[in-house]
Amino acid sequence: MGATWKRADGIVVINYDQCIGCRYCITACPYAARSFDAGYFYSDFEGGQPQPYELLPSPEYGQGRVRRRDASPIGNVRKCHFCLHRIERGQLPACVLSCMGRATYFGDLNDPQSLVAELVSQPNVIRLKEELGTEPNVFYLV
Amino acid sequence: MIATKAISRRDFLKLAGASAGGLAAMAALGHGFKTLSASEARQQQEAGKRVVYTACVMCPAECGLAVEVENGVISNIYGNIHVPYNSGTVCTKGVAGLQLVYNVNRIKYPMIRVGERGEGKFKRVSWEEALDYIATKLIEIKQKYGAESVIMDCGDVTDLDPYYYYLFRAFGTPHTVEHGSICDTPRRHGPKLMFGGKRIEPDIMRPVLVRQPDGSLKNDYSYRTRLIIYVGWNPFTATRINYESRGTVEARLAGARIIVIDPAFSNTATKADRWIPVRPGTDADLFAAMLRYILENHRDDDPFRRYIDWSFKEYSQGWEEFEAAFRSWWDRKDPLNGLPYFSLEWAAERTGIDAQTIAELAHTFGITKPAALVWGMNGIGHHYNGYVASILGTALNVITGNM
Repeated sequence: MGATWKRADGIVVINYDQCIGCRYCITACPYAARSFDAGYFYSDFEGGQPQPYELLPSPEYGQGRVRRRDASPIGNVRKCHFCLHRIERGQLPACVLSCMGRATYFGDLNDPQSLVAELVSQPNVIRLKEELGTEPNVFYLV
Repeated sequence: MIATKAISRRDFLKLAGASAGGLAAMAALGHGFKTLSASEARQQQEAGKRVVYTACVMCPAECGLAVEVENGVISNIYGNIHVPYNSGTVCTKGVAGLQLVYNVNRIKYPMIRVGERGEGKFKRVSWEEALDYIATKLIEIKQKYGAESVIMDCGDVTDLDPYYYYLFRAFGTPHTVEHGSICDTPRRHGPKLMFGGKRIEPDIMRPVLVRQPDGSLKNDYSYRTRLIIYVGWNPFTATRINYESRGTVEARLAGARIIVIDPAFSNTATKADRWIPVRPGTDADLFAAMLRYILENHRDDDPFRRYIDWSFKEYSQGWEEFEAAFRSWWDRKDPLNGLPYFSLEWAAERTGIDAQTIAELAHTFGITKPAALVWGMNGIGHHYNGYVASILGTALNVITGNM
């Protein structure tokens, strides 16, 4: 379907309007990074109707997507998109900002002057499942 | 320590909350995305949103929060970047604070049980009715059995415990139990006795606001601590002193040595320079041996053995009595192992750490400045040996000039 691809900057994205929810990409992803949105709300598990905060638009891929029953992104595959909406306005991803241990970094690896380029040049860096040749851009400083 | 190029780790932290001010630096990071001007960014960020600054009450850490409100509904909970304590960070528990407001099972009004206990039958009443109901019952009990027949028992209600406490004192019962009655008291005992404080923490909260000579306030990101000894303290796991989780790592990268003394190989021990396992409940013995080693081996004229910073005497009183009482034990022998009290061999026998290591530890702590000897909730805070340990630990920090 061509609903998911790797952008030039390395971020793997999904086009919700193209995705038919076949979920083959979930089994294909070696990193278990993807999950299927089956349409549950947190309040469902608490025994109530979706609350107003659950029906606010969430910024994904340039659109404010509202989760409504039987409409995208419900029925699509979803994944971390590195807070594209924040990056585009010059903010760091929310997990980098919020991390209690300040354990996460984000930046441009192609820029040799950047902090992330410096950090990954250390010897104590690994990537998951390198043998698959997927060249992941998530590095673990161990 | 990591050598820095265009952007240091410190600069990275400065712009972690990058709003308008951090954008120029963000461009320096080379993120490859379009860079907006400060006003553009603020416009985009605030479109249709209102930010309410408040404090988190999900745990006793009470971090500063920036809560985004969209059309009257909370949309996001972020840390408040302007609060140095959490410096823009917020944990998942804090974000779950949404459920305090919006959970469908939240109890929004007083309920009185009408069925049998456990049946789950309640009726909704007004606050007037609820307060009258409780007051009538309490007074009934007081008249029938006396005020002291009532025990007040509450959990950790995040610094509201005193109100419960005062209420029941006023009611007439001394039987008040709350979280503070059984938690962390030994850890605070020494500092409370000796200088009225609560607990000793290393100076690693960064950024910290520092008053400049011209009167302005400036964020300081530099770490000066050269040695931190954590005793039974594991700041990398959930704790209210949450800046220690990032501060310890950053201080170590800035050149500080981290030593963890803990029976368990804790998370903090995994990232420390040295882990020294100790027999549980013998922290006070270790501190006593360190104090004796420092007192015995201190030399004013030898820079390699000048452990004690005598200037502490200008700010304190009673050291002579403390020292005399402490020294009076040195010649006596412990009937349990036949060794002189607080000697290295005595402590080695008690703690399971060999004498050489204890001497090294005492020497390192004495000679390295600024240093911090920190004891924690996990060991000393919940053991009866903690009362003595916290007194000795406080004395160690004070006489070495680390207070």
